[in-house]
Amino acid sequence: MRFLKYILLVLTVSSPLLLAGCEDSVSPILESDRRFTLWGTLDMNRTEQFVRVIPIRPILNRTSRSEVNVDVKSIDLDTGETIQWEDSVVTFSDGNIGHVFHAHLRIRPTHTYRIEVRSPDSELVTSAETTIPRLPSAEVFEEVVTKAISPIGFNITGSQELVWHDVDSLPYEIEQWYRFLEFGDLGFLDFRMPYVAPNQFSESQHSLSFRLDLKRDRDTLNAHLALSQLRLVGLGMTITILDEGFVPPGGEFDPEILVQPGTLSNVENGFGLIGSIGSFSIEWVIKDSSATTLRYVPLSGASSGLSGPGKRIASLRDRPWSEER
Amino acid sequence: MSKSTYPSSDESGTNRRLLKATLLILTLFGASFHAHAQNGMLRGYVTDASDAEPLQGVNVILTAADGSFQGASTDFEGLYVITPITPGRYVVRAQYIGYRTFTDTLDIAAEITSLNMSLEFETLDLEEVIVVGEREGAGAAGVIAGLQTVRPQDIDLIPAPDVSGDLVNYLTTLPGVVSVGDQGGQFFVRGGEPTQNLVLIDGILLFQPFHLVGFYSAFPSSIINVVEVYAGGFGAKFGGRLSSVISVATRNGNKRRFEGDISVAPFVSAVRLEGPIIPGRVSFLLSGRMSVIDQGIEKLISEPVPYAFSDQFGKIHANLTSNSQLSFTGIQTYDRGTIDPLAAEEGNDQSDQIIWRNQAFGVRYLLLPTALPVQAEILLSNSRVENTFGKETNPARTSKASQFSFATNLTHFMGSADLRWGIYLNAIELQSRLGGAFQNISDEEEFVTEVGGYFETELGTSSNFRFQPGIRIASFPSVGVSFVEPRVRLIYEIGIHRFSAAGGMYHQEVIGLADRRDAGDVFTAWTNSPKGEVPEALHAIVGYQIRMGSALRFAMEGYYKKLSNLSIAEWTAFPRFTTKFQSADGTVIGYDARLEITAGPFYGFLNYGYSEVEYVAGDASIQFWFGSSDIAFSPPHDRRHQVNAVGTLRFEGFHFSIRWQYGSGLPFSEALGFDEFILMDGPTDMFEESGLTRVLYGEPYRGRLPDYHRLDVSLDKTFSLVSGTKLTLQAGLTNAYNRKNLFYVDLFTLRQLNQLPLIPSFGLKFEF
Repeated sequence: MRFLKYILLVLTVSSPLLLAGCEDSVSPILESDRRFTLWGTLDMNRTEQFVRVIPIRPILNRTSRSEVNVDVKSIDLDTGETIQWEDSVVTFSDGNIGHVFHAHLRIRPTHTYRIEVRSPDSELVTSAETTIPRLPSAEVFEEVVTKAISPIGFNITGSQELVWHDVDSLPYEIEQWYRFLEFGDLGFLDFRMPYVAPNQFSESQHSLSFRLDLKRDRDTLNAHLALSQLRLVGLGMTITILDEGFVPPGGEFDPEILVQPGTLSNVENGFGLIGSIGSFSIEWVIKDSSATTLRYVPLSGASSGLSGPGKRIASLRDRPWSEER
Repeated sequence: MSKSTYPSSDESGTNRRLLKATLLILTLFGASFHAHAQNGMLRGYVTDASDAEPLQGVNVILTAADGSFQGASTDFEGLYVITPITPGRYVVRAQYIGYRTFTDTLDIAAEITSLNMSLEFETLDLEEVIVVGEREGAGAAGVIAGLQTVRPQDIDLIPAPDVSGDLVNYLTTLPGVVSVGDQGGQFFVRGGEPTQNLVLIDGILLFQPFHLVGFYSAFPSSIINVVEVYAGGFGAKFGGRLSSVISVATRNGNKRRFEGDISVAPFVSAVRLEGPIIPGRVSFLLSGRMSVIDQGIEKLISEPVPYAFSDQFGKIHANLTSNSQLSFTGIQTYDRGTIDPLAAEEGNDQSDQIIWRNQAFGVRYLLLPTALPVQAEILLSNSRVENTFGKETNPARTSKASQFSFATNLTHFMGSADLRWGIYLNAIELQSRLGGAFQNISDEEEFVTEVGGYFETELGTSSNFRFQPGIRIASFPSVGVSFVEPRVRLIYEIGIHRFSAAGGMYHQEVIGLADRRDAGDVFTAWTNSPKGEVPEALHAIVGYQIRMGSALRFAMEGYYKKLSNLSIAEWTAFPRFTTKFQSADGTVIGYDARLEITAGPFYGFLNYGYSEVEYVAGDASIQFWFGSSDIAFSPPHDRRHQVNAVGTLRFEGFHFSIRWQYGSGLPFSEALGFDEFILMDGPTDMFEESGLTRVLYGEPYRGRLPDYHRLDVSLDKTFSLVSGTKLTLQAGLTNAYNRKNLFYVDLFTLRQLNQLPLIPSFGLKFEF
């Protein structure tokens, strides 16, 4: 039939497409050089370091395997010191199993450490580098405490300046504390609170300045403690500094954003984050007279030995970072 | 990205200028009307004498004593209007293929003359003749600036696993129309989303008219008079949707005698009944279909097809007088299914199910005022949709939308130009209870009021060049938003060539949200658009058509759509089934080519479509994730290449039809794998944090599913039985070479769900 030629025409036109479309399945998992996800922080305040190693898997469900055959090591890129890390299989509270590698490693400020994870059956190395924050210094200046008579009674004010030097970024956390000795020498009592007063960070001078409000602190403490039963030993501040690669996009640790692969990640051939962290503290005393004015019970004999405001009374440099800290 | 559609001072100025232009045009047309008042007008309806159904495409020719003539063809209502006519004596003839020509002599004065005509069927050997009235935009290659007209006989050409046709099977042959396949009921037109299609039945809105099984919609061909499908560039009469218009005009029901049919096929059983209530004046038409999947197709293919659907349609039509009509139309649909192979295989009937119901009812009054050259239409309707997802007895998510509408449409016939205008009022109620599925969409009840109007003219209705400018004004007092939307369509014909173009601006205040990251999630939440981010589209279409003799017709169209303020699902690496919505802009660019062949008993067409859809999302989080302020990607309905080849042949009383369809692979998001995410927000104890499982997605929608192709064939024959009854037997193969077309990949389980396999189908229809 002559109409067959039309059918043949249609089939002729469509046959290349038919051949092109023979594939009927697809793999939703992409080939990739990314093998492992690494999570961990190298902490200046610890001598044992920990890194979680998670093999990237092609299925959603977690593997029940209790072994992961990888070689994990750290290299101090400044000294070349290499340390082999050991695996420990952890069963978490939700019943899942994970691999946390650990090593005895005392990290040094400003040194860069490279963590390498290698599978024995592959040349590919998953790695991350982190540079440890440098050691800051701090200066505390003598407190200024005043007491004046006003129509409604005594008006007490108290302030103290504190400056941290060699700080390269805003601290992750700033914490203040007041240390007391309970009457009868029953022991020390530390009252810790987040620092809420404004600070001034100078990126150019790498300094961080605080002006402590001693009167407000005293009111806060009075609301929580029976101050008449305690003697003020001293004051302190701790700042926690993260390395420069540990700054989240937008300045906020938002899990909805950070969960996206590659966001806040320094891992090559993998995902995750190896950061480093350091916590630094300074503590000092205020004069008995100031403590008394602020209605604390002073620890007798406390005096800066200096007179006049603006004088340095304590410095972290006076007590350099040591292996024993 | 365009973020605001609230009128700024500049926009207000533009709106004022547009309003002034509208008033000026109205004034000019008023003057034009007076000029035509010295001439006569002939108008009326042409119907089929056997059932009083309107006949469209009838040529009505008026011949003067000097041999000069003028004419018009009837529209889908059977209405013709000839004006201006110099008063005098004329011979009027109404001609239509397959019908005896109506002839009469008339004295026409300088006034409106009404003449309704009934054409009698002319007995021909229909075995070898396909009766097709010529209608603008009809036929596979008959597209004009995005407008495709579909007739029931077009639908019945397409092989389907059913002895009766369904509109959706024809629509999916159109280039630029993407369906996700045999399942899901999702229907994308030239890059637009399913909820951006305006679907009307006799002017009544139907929110979600496509059934979960992709071979069926709410529109069996047996209830259809004609369908106008605007793939874009639609005129000012239509609004409220961004992408396309599918306007279904239904049949009226036989006013002379009772008739009907009953059919059985592997997917559905159907019944239709129609007849006179008052012979010659009032008729009814009832149609109902119900799926029989568990008794039919599941047994045939020995696979679970966990869907059920049904639809019911009813219409009463009355010729109140010779120049006025009243009709009542009601429709409802029901869909229930589980697009989850695991649940289906386990036969767990308490698994999560998607259910949607449509209900719509409307009254339409059509009037040709005796003394005015005007056709007036008054429409009153109420439409409602309800979506649920979850356990049938206690769904986790529900979304309801209802719309009450009142509209008046007027057409002024003025010879070389028609003027159409209308006003409308919509009261919309939206309710959602989403169970946190769409995190930044709150569960609430919203009321939206819309008032507006439109005005458009058609200049040069009797010449080779037709220009149809229009403007639509929509205002939402309840949310303080107004739009002015210019529209234009034009057609130029010269010899065998026809050039066309269309364009316009469109807004959609009420939107449907769906999580398109998962092809198996077809739950749609209807809501008001986010404040200040009303979705907007600009369309541009150019087309060319050539008729090469009586056997061949070829058409080509290019199109462009610019989309703004779309709401799309946000990406997250958490493997969860909830999402936030983010704003995106988009562009659609494409072209299609259609070749239509008519040669004796053979009819066929070959359609090819190329389309590129690109969305650009620019939320703040994009910067963090991908390192740039925005990211461009192809949404999951971006089908680049499409081919549809259809051939039908009538021989020895048989009707054979074959269809091959091809679609290049749809985008999907690939992953590198899975791991655990630990929120490193400072010193973290690695022995305490188990971590949250996450998906390591690549960039969104960079992967492509395999190409889709399928061959369907069917053969049917109708036997005449006693007393005018008929029996049609049909046999067919859907997916004849059993192609394993991939529906979707479940990334979390790596399971791949295929479309339906080879389906042998047998159907029979008894007509009485």
